[in-house]
Amino acid sequence: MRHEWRGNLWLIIELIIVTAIICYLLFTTIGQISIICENKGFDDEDVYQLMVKTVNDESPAYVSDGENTESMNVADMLTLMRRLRSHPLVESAAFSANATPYTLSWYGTNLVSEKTSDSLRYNGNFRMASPEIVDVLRLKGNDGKTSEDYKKVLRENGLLISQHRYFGGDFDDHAFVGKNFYIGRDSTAVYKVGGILEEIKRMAYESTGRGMILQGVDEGRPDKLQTDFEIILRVKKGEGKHFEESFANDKKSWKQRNVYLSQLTSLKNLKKGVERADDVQIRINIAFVGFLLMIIFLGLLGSFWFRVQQRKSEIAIRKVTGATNPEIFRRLLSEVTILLIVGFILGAGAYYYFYKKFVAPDIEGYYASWVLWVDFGVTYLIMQLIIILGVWFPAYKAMKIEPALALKEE
Amino acid sequence: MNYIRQIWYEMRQQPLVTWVTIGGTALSIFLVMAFYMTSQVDTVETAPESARSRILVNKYVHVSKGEQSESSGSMSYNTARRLNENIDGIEKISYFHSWSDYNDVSAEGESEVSLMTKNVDGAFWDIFDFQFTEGRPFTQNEAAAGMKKAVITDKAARKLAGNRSLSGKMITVNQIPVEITGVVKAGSPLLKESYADLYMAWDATGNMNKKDEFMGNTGVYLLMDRNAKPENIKKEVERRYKEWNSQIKKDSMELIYHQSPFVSEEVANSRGSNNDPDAESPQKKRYLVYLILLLLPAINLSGMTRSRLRQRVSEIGVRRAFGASKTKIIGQLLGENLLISLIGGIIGLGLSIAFILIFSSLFIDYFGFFSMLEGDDLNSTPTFGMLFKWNTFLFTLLFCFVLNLLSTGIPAWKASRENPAEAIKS
Repeated sequence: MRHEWRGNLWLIIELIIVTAIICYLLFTTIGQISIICENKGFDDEDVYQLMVKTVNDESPAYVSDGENTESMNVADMLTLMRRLRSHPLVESAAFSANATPYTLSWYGTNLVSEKTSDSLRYNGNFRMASPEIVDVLRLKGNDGKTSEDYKKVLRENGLLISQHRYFGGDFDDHAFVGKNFYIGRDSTAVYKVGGILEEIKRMAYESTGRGMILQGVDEGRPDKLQTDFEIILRVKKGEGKHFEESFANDKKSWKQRNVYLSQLTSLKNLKKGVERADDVQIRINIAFVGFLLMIIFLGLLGSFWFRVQQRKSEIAIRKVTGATNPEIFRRLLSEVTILLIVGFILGAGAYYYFYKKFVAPDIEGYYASWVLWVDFGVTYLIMQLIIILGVWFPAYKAMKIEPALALKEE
Repeated sequence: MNYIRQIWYEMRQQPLVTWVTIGGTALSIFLVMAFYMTSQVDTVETAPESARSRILVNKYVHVSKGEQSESSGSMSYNTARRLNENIDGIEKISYFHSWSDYNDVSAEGESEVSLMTKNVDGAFWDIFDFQFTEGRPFTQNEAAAGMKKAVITDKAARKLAGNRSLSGKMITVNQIPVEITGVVKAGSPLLKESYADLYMAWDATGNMNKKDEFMGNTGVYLLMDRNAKPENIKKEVERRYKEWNSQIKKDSMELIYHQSPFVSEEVANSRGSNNDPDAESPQKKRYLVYLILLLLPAINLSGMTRSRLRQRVSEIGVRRAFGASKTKIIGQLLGENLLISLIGGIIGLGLSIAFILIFSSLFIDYFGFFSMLEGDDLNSTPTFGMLFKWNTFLFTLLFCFVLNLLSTGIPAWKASRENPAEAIKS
């Protein structure tokens, strides 16, 4: 090894750089995968989004009822909803304002306790939906209540809030249940928090850094409704394709005077669009790691090829003195493993410094603390694997050396 | 000729190392060029954005209302006009509706399809060079008069009415009758500012948001004249911000300036309506990636070159003994390796183009976080013309040269310093 010190030094430098880069790339990738594996808080299988649209007075199809046109439109929207709910392929449907998953709205507000002496305050994304959203998204709670209980809360003008992690502090969500709150600065009305739902994400790739406040849409009060909702619906299991066909072939059923339903999109499709940037980033990271490993592999292959050529006689002597093929392979492998350990420790150390200084302050608590250690472990393992592969071919050639011939050449 | 013979001899002597060297170079050039070409898509000048380097985009306004609140988003028509109209160096200005959307469109006797619709004024056609296959664009006067006119792309027309000509025909958009004035060749979704299926005539003045003095639904495209510089336009817009701020200060309000209007790099790296665009970080990241992708293979190749030259010590000694200078030896070794680098480079360039054309939808997110594209539009791949310009080839040559210099420079210099007598003896 000392004889090859210059070559080894370059190899160590290379291993340091590659270790640090792979640690960096895999950290976010492992972190993101850990987040994806967490519960989303909703079930998007067989769920669709539909837009409620209205024809305006520029269309010949527009029906006017003078001042009552808006209330006529609202009534027609409710008629279409009833029609939708009675469709044989639809399990449940709800009006939604920002409550559809993968709608990346940060529109939020605070719940402020009506008692000025109480400092309870909840900050979350504000969503509105018909009580049926509990069934559509199969929302669950962790306070022992059933979905019927949650629907009842929404029907009775109460609020549901979701559990979520407050980074850097304890937070007791349950302290909110049964208490009255103002929404934002509006102190003209109070709302009772009736239940705590599980953590609900905006999308799978995000940690639940912020809670959700869900308020019911009261379909029994048309005077309070407008036609700017969207609809979220669950079809019967596995019936998505049939419902899509049925919807496309029967547009007339989904139009009532000025109001019509349009743009049926599965949540799976919405998810694809919204999570595309993260998907791509993960793929790039993994591909980049793959290419770096290939570069290391080629480097090892090339340099060990020459080393073995130059050490033919040494290997021949070892074989003559009784060394077996596995012993020769182990010897070559252990030489480069020592280099890997040195390179890995320095590279991982460099990354740790970078992580503490630049990465950790920005992501405090976002990823679980084990992510960093898994990152180091995975990085070492794949580098060790690539080193075994890179050394294998030159070692294989070395093992095949015929001692007599090799010594004669010498 | 001698170089080529020498290289051919070397390649045959050590086939494994030859292939490893070519493979390593090809891999490095492949990665570097893949990065270079994909980053270029954000700024490449191709129809209908052939004047991309002269087009500036201004979409947002950010209003602070004292300590109470702040809001940001699209500009009102008044804001857009006050900040962008009549600037020296601007040849054309076009107002467009900030939100493109998917609408329900149908042609007579055909079923309804969902098309991405962009609302623009007549000047839009003077800034973006669409190729009309039928009919004509709608005019500024038609748009300003609120006439229901539209231009459709050939791709969308086929989706809507098969091979039937739509120019001059009526269609309905969200149940409103609209006349098609012309058909254009479809652009690419990767050219974000010009892309849509259907372009509706839009009158910005008719959409003034009366509730809010600053915010609304208007965006602006500015076409600079050939001698104008973006920084001068930005300075003027910033001056207008300051002037306006001095007037609204008394109401504890402030318009926060975020480097608008944006050049194409800034559009690609926009961070929403309440932040400055960050075109610098991705650029720095790209340079770092280039550096790593050149440095690592260079270290590898350098090790192999050194080992290979060690076997040629006596040959180099003989050449030195016959009067070859150190410079000549270094030049010859660099030249030999440059040829191998070029072979690897050409393979790498070919691979990178093929890779991007086949796999770009898996690995490239041109649309960013605020994308609202759906369905097939999400899987767009750049065309060969968008990826390959002649400067791409020059960059490949440059990268090969740098890689060659990095990987062979030191070993060649060391080999040339060997004492001829010692070298021949070894």
